[in-house]
Amino acid sequence: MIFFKQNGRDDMVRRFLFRGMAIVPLSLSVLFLSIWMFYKLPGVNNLDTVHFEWGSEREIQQLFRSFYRSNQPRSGQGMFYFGVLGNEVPKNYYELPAPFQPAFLELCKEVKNADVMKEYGAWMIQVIQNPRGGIEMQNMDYQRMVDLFRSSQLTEVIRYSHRMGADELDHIIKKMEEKSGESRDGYRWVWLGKNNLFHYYLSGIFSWKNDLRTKEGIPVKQKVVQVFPWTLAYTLPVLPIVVVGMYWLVLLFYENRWLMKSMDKVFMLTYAFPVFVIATAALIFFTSNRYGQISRIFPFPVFMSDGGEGLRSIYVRYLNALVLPMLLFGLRPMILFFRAFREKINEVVTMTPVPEYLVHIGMASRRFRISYLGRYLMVTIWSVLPGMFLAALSGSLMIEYIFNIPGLGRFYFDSVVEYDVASSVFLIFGFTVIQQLGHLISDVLIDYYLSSQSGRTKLT
Amino acid sequence: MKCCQLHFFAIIMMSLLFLTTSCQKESSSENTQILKIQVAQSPDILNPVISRTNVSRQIEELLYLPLAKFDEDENQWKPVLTEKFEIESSSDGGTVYKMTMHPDARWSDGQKIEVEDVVFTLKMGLNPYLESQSWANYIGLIDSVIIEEDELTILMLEPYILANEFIASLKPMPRHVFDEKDLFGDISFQSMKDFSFEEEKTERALESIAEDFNRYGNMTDWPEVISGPYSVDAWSADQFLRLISNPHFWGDHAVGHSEKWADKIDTIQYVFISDPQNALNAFSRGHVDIVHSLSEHNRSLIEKNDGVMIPVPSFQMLYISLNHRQPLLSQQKIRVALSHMIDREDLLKKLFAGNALVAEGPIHPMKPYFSPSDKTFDIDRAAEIFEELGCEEIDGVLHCPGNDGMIPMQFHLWTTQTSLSRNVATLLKSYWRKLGVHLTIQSADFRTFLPELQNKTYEMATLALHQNNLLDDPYPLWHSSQAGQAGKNYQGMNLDSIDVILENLRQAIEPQKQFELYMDLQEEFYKEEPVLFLVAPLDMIGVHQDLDLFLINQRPGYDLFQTKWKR
Repeated sequence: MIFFKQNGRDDMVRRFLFRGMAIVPLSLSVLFLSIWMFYKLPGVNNLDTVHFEWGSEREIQQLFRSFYRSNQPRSGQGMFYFGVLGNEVPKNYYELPAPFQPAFLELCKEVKNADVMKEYGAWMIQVIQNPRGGIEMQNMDYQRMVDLFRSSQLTEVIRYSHRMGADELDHIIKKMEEKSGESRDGYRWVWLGKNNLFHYYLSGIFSWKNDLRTKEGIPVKQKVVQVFPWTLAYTLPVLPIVVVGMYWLVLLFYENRWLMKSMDKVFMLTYAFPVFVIATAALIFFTSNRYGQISRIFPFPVFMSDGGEGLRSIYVRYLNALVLPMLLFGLRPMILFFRAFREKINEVVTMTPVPEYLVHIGMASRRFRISYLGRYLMVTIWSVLPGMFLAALSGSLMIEYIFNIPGLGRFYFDSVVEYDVASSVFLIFGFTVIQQLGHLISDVLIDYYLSSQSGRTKLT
Repeated sequence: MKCCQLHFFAIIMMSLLFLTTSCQKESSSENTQILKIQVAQSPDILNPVISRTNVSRQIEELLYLPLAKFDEDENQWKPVLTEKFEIESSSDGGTVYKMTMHPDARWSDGQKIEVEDVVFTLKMGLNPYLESQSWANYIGLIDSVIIEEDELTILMLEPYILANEFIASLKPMPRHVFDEKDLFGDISFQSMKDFSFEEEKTERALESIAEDFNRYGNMTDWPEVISGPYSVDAWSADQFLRLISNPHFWGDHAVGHSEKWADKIDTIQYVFISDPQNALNAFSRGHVDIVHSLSEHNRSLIEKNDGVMIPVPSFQMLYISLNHRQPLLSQQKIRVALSHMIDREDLLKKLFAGNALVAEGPIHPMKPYFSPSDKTFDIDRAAEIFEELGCEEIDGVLHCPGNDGMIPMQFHLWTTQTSLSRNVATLLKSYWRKLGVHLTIQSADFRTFLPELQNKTYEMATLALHQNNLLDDPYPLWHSSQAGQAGKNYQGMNLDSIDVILENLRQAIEPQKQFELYMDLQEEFYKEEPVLFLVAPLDMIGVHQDLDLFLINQRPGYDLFQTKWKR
């Protein structure tokens, strides 16, 4: 990854540009993928009758109206600025509510006439958008209407439309029967313009209007600002302590082989345990009120967020309860840094002349340790930094879930589980961008250090 | 060297930070008038017209008072917001509700609560732009609304079983908050019902009012003007909601009311903890005083932490929905045989440690009009039925005659992802396997298999039935008209005998007639076994022993107005 070249600064600029340019397509791809996954989940595009109490006509009307609420994206909309449709499928397919789309698509395949299906689609949209008016119908039966819209075969359409008394629909059905098979096979590109889900979320993320709202109705950005201090509360103090602590531990005691080996064994053993096992065990055993003094040191954490507190307020009220999550959060980076530092030191010491020689030529042993070996460890820190940076910001999902901390990780988990698409998409995009930026900063730091005259001198 | 000093300085600072603040004492509700209640989820909205969750309804009871409340001792409706609340039969067979508001009744902003507020709420409930139309279904049954000298008369020509309950428990909303220009005053009740207006701008105005109304009561727009004894003090998403005693509550000073609310608890805090283990720990730390959804094995921990466990009715029943369009499950005898093969007592013992009741039919066993059946776990009887039908066992699988010859008794059972649902399915599998009936269990989120239920492409599904009202209107769940894709008759049931009873029951307003029809309905269910009812679990709650919880036979199982701290 690191190249020692005379023209290192040019190389750094090139890499910076390359990385910077990659952030945009990478982040947008992640955004698209997350939207795609949410809207292709089977539960999202259902006919949502869960809250029906009567199964009455009114409730179905309400369901119809909900498909076209102006302030929310429609799940049936296209995913991107353009889409691919079969030649037999009209473009207004994208305007239909998602629960009716699969049946409509099947019907298109049977009828094979995009023009007639366009008329049928337009009629459906008119009925759904304005169920009480605009449609001439003698017998408006909404239960039947739902069955009609979910009909995937022409025979079913004819059966359900029977005795509805909708002249326009009867006329369209007649055309469906007469003009079967006019569209040719194959597919075509369809331009959808801004009327697509990707554009909705992209503009929601970058606009100041707070269009993206959580399920509770509060703007996602506001919610992120609310939960952010909670994640920082247990991650921010831990990372510097872990990095600095391990840095000095290895640097000062790398010659003490017994200590290093013992620590290595202890860490290897600890590393074998998944964090969630340790976290759950700690939560259950330490905080269970069963272990006297230990349980008093680690009380069961019940964090109450008022929705607008800062770091200071959180520490004043909950620092005691945050100690255990901090310790558990610090465990993994501690092991990671220890191992990385130790490996690096071993490698450097093996490759460089013995310290005695350096002392002989005039370099003090303290300088050898701190300035010479320490610089190598610094490069290691910078290379691991982006991952740690993201961990600090996004929080440890498991720790927040287990300890009930209302931070970013918990918010993300709950959003995904609760089908809160706006919050999930916003967070996924945010984490992606943060990680990419972390890589960029890390690269710049390493490159800048390596290309600078003083850094190279000290490393070579 | 500088770098080294900086690192040490950072470590020392961090250590100091830990040491100086690591001895925080967390607040506890002890010795205060605060009552902290754990609930699994936060309310969707605090607006009785459009809220949908039970938690919302539970909290709304404290914020908004109803017109009248049913007194189980006197077996009649007693006025609450009203001074007079009378129910009479009209000469043409309909029902007339007459009421005047209590002269002292005031909104929390000091405005008088008037019958016009009731009429506004009725009209608003009919607004098709509201997020929920559940009230509109009931209000749509009203034929006329007349105000004469502060007396409101509501006429309902067509009888409906839940009409009394709906009208009496109606919680008026403050007209002056939403309709300053008195738009609703100019629109007749009938126009709202038909949703037909002479001017198009009226419809636009209604849409605009509905927009405000739909927001009213959500997290960012708490209900400020209320009629009840508590008001919202703080609400944090996914965390807690705090209610404090409403300082302007009219009932504190009104004659005939003040004694009801005299000893009410000052502050009620709902704490949202979805995970049962976290909730239990919160109880043991004194962070909550009432904790829900406990199991029998939590008893020792609850009792160790100054608590008692109390079973309260959840009015929930678990049942196996059977697709009546499946050739085998459409046969009554097969359904009956399958029912005989379920050891409900065993289910009760193994999954609920006895804290549940056997569910036998569509009426919850704790309802006064429940009628027990002579249903038994009788595997021999089931075997006899299969033999009568001409079923045969081939390679360990029972085959029964369908329309197209012998069909194997192998079914696919959907369950939700809760452990209870999956455990029920597993036990069921073990009972049925004895006679060669095989189940394939598949767990998924309810929304995932909902399309299967709507399209009637499933075979069996583990479902739960929730009941809430004083009376039941079982029509939406079992009537054949609800078997379409938008209906809740997921079974596709089309049984004439049951349809007729359901239709009559809907229109029965005489208690005696209602009772008879409920009996008939249960009898018919026991005969037909259209679905397989299993158990009615009780909700085990943990309560602080210093709390004098007033238990009632309605959700959530206790009345907070009459609950007091003993200390």
